[in-house]
Amino acid sequence: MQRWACAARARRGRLRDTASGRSAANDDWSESINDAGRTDDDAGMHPEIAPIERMGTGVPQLDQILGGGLVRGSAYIVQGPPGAGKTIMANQICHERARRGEGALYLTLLAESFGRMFSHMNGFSFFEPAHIPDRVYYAGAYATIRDEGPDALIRLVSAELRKRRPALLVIDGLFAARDHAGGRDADAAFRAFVHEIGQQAALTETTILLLTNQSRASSSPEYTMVDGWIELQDELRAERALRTLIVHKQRGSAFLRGRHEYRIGEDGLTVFPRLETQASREPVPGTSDTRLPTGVDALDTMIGGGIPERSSSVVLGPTGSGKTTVAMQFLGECTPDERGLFFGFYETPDRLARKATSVGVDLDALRESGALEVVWQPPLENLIDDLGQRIVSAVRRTGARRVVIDGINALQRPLTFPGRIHSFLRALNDILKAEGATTIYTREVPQLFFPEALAVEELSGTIDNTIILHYTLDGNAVRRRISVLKIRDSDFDHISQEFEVTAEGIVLRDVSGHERLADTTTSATVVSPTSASAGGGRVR
Amino acid sequence: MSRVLLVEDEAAVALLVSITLEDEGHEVVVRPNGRKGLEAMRAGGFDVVVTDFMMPSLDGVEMIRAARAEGIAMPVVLTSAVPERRVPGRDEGLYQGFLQKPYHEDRLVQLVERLLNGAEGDDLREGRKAASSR
Repeated sequence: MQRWACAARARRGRLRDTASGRSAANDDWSESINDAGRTDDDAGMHPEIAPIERMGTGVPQLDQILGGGLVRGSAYIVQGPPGAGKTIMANQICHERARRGEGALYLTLLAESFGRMFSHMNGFSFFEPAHIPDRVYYAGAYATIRDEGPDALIRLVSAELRKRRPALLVIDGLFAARDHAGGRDADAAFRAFVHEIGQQAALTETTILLLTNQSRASSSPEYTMVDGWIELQDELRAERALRTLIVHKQRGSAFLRGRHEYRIGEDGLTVFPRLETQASREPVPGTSDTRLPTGVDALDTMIGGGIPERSSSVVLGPTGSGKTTVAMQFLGECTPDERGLFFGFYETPDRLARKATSVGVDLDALRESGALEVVWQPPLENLIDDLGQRIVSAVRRTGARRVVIDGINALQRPLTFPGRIHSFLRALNDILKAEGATTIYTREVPQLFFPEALAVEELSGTIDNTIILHYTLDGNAVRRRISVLKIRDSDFDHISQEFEVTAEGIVLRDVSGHERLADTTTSATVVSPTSASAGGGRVR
Repeated sequence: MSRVLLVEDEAAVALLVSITLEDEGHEVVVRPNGRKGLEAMRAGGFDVVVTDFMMPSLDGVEMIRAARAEGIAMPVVLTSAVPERRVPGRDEGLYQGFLQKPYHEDRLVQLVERLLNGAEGDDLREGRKAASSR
């Protein structure tokens, strides 16, 4: 009989979703949740078994980590130290449900004032006072648990769920139930309380979040009795504070395990799934036979006709060696039909435009024509997966085929575990290649002259092509040289070439000092005193 | 000395308000939700009721309505973290004073004492003029 009751409630829930117009949610992943709350993953499941129904959290990217959102009728423990953002996240989800026409009940077991909580929440964009009290209802039950114990609280919760029929119930201060269970059997009473709450969730199709700041062993019984367990961590790593979210448990879902960084901003929590979890496990398309001109014709000749399309390259070199210039000339070839993206950390857009003009690339014209987008991100306390996601989003939004990331050093800085850069770059490259992008990274190295050794093990296996810029001493003169170390699956000119940075960009010189130019009909290098033709974005 | 029934689910607020009113010479009885508050009203013996709006079981408005239906009438101050325009039944004459949380304790003391002295009217409902002018 209970099963029938559940099925009837499930049907009611579906009708309620349709009536409220619930469809797309807050992020890309949630768009795959249909009106019935089922995910694409449910396809092929046995039709006699009711599929899992989900609800979007309204926390950007959290649904993706949860495998499609919270499961309706499930109980979750949300654990984290004071200040980690549990209350903010719970309010964010409450107001998301209200925004979608459903009800939420926030019940606190803490001696806390809602007046002050509202004042704090009022600064967040998700908090909508107009939803209170009709759609989001706040009530305190501390006195009930203190004076009458867990059984009375269960009765109160049961009565509230019947009366208000919320889609979501938040119980803030789970361990108050343990603290006020009393006697030698406090643990048993607490286990019974958590079990009863789980039953209430299932029977009423209410999703219940149990918030607590207590960190107990993962073998503690409460974790085995709930359907899901989400942990928020707020730690100091050296001088830097870092917030991470871990989903330890999510019954019935293929969720993204491990740590995911999150930020608390004016929109509440935003979670950044590790980029590695987003890269396809299928083989990505390899580099194509097509070559893209670099914007430096003689360099194209050195590397066999240009950079292989859908490849990743790194331009290594010490400060001032011309790395960004090489990258800008690559982008100087962009057109509205072959767009580009410059994602940089060190040069502000204005400084970058001036620098580009000085080497013959009209960055402003490229931007105005829609051929190029410049994204600048100061190299401060960034989150690595936020950066990765922003790069991927910008490539997808613009359809960029030529991408420059200037540079890898700034990507490495926010890493908590430096060794992760290898898997991060691997994932980023795979995603960008799948989008059809050809990517150049710059990376600063400390060695001024041609290095006998390079500590760039993070690039091994992840980067297709390696070009190094370095200095040489010619008597008292400091000269620049360019050397190609690797072009994957392709031959290239192994002889390093001297180059100058001129008002028309990088100009390679042969040993006699003449400019080296590409022969457009053969791969041979010719020597000429005049300049070759310029690319689409060059200053004429 | 007057007897005040304080119906409040937020434990910290209940403690501070009861201390404040007791310091002013009132006797205060605290109940944690509307259902228990209604039971106390039925038992009688109070001069004024101070009740929160949003509470579990019965909310403050439901409690006053139920009491009125049973013929129990006494001066009421309603408090809430939401503005008065969000309170259902605000034009039913269920309460005489309104305070939006967080409020200064002196405001509550003044309201309670004016009600005990028989005052009535919109000036007892803080925020009412601003709300009705919208």
